[in-house]
Amino acid sequence: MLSEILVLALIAAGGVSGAWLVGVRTTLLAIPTGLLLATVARILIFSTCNLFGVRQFSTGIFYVALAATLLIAAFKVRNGLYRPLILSFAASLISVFATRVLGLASTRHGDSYWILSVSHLMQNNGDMLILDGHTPLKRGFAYPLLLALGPQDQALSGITPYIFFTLVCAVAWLVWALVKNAPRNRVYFVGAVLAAMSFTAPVTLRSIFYINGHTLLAVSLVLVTGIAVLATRDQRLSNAHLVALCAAVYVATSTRAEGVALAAIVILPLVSLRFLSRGRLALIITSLTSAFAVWQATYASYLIPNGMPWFLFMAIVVAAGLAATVPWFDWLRFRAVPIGLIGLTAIFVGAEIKWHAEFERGHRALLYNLVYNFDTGTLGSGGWGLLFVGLAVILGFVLLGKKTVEFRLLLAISAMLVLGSLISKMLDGGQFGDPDLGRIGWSDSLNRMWIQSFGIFVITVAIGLIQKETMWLRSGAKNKGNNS
Amino acid sequence: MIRVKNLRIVTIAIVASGIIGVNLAAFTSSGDPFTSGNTVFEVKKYVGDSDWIENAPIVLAGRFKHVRLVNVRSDYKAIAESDAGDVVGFSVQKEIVDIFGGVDADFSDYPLDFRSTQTGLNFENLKPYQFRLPWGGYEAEVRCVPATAKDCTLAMFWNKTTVRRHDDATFIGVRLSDSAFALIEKHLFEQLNVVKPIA
Repeated sequence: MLSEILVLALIAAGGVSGAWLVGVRTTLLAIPTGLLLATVARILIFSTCNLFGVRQFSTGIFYVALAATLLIAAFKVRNGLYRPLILSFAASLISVFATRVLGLASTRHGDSYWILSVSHLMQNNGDMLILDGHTPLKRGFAYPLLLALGPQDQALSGITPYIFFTLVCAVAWLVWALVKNAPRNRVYFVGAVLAAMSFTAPVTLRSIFYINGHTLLAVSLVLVTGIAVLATRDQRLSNAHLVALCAAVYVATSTRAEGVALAAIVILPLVSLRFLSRGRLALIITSLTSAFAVWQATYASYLIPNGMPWFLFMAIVVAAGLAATVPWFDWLRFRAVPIGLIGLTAIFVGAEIKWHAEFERGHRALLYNLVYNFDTGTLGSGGWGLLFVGLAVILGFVLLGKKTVEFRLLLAISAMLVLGSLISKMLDGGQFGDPDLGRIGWSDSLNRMWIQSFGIFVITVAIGLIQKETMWLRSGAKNKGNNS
Repeated sequence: MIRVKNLRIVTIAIVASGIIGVNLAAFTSSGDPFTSGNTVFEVKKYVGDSDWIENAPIVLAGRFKHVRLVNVRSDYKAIAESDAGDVVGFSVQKEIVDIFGGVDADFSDYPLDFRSTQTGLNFENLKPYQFRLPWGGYEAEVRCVPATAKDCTLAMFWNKTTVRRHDDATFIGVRLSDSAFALIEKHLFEQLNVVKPIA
């Protein structure tokens, strides 16, 4: 247990220090950014060592890098760093206590066993070429790599609840960043109501300990969305936010197969910003393409054409991404959000028309999982309670009338994430025959995919509700919000 | 203090309270979100003791010095709307065999088909040698090859007096009924089998 505490505390402290060093000086943002920076470092060190056949040194190098970052931060930017350090250290202690002492664990699930198996291979310096098939690829790269940092032959059990903690921090940061000028009572009231609705849904609690990459992907998506919305609202993107953004895009792409598509969706608002320099645009896109290429090359993926050297594959993928920065595509780029929304809708509607019969089971599953199971007469089988019904009802109240820029963008991103998740599920099913939209039960992959985006849905509803001035009577506090 | 301007905010508060109440009331019907008291942290044991559909090789690897599996070909591509009539084997994941070690598998041939052959290889004769699975029962669920809506079953058999724990052992994949497969230890297989299987 002691070694697990040390490792998790080092990841937390080293990561937070790294975030502080690059200029992320907000406690609630530094904690998730720190985790993502540490994850990127872990991936890059492991992949490089794998490339040179010295995987056995990768863990040691990673620890040295984290410790060095912590030391440099301690000397260079001590001011205020103690706050996120104490908070993340306390969270890592609680996480390890919960799993190792209380023995808390999530529902057992086949995907978790697969992920643990992949992490076992990584920890024992096994041959990564084993993972070239379809199933291991689906289990992702970033999350098993973090699990592989556990004691010998064991997984790093505390990392899963710690990731959930960083997700809570990320959601709280974004809500606060968007409504910090709104009356406090209003923010606390809406926050308490939505938190209570979310945490009484069984899946929210299940995902705290569930061994899968969903929450890590969720942290990344919330950060990318948040930075995109703030950059759009403020018409500026700080260097600190750019680093956090690139780390989040990198981790989102490396965590799960659908993460590639979802990361591509949530960067659309950023890609469309006119003030963004081509260099920065290239950096954001390359965070996505290089993450994908490194993952595929390390797993010797079946997606790499037979006989093609890994470096050529990487060069092609990265170059293809960079094509979007060419001025010829600017017209499309500046309209990326509406084009993305229309494109995803067209794909979904087209698929619905073509495979309507095949999707019948999936339609039923969506209703039964998210709302009510009419066969068993119980609440939604997906374990979401009535959370989605509640969010939809509240959204109905705030949709009409004037909307702020940030709320409109959050709505567009939420809609694209819903469509993106549905299309990802179709593609996944399509590999084994006809496309599919899932089955009844919490463990259905589409049902679990909502873990990745429900944080953004909750933020969208919270922002819509808090910023809806016509619903609230001012109680003396000045609203200097960014309503437009 | 929160002051209400119109009925909408009251409605939202009522809706939210209702949702929280219903969620709490129905909490148990969704199953426990997590369990407590877990003491198994070793990945091999945690996975091997589970009823995971892929873990037959890990279970056997934990009981013998080295295990060899033959007739476990499972590369038959899944076909849309396949049913029990299309089944030719059961799934053994090469990656799982390679990751955990202690097992090597020959994926050249599908399981031997003993469904309609009068031999000593039947459930009744095999019963004394069946292995009780770590998670209870004698039959594991495995994916059929090709995948069907309903999974196949897999049982494991060996004679504990002739093959001891930490010996080397070879297991042969055998089909006993339309959706029931078995991994039978080679010596037991030879002892009970009197007729050649259907090719």
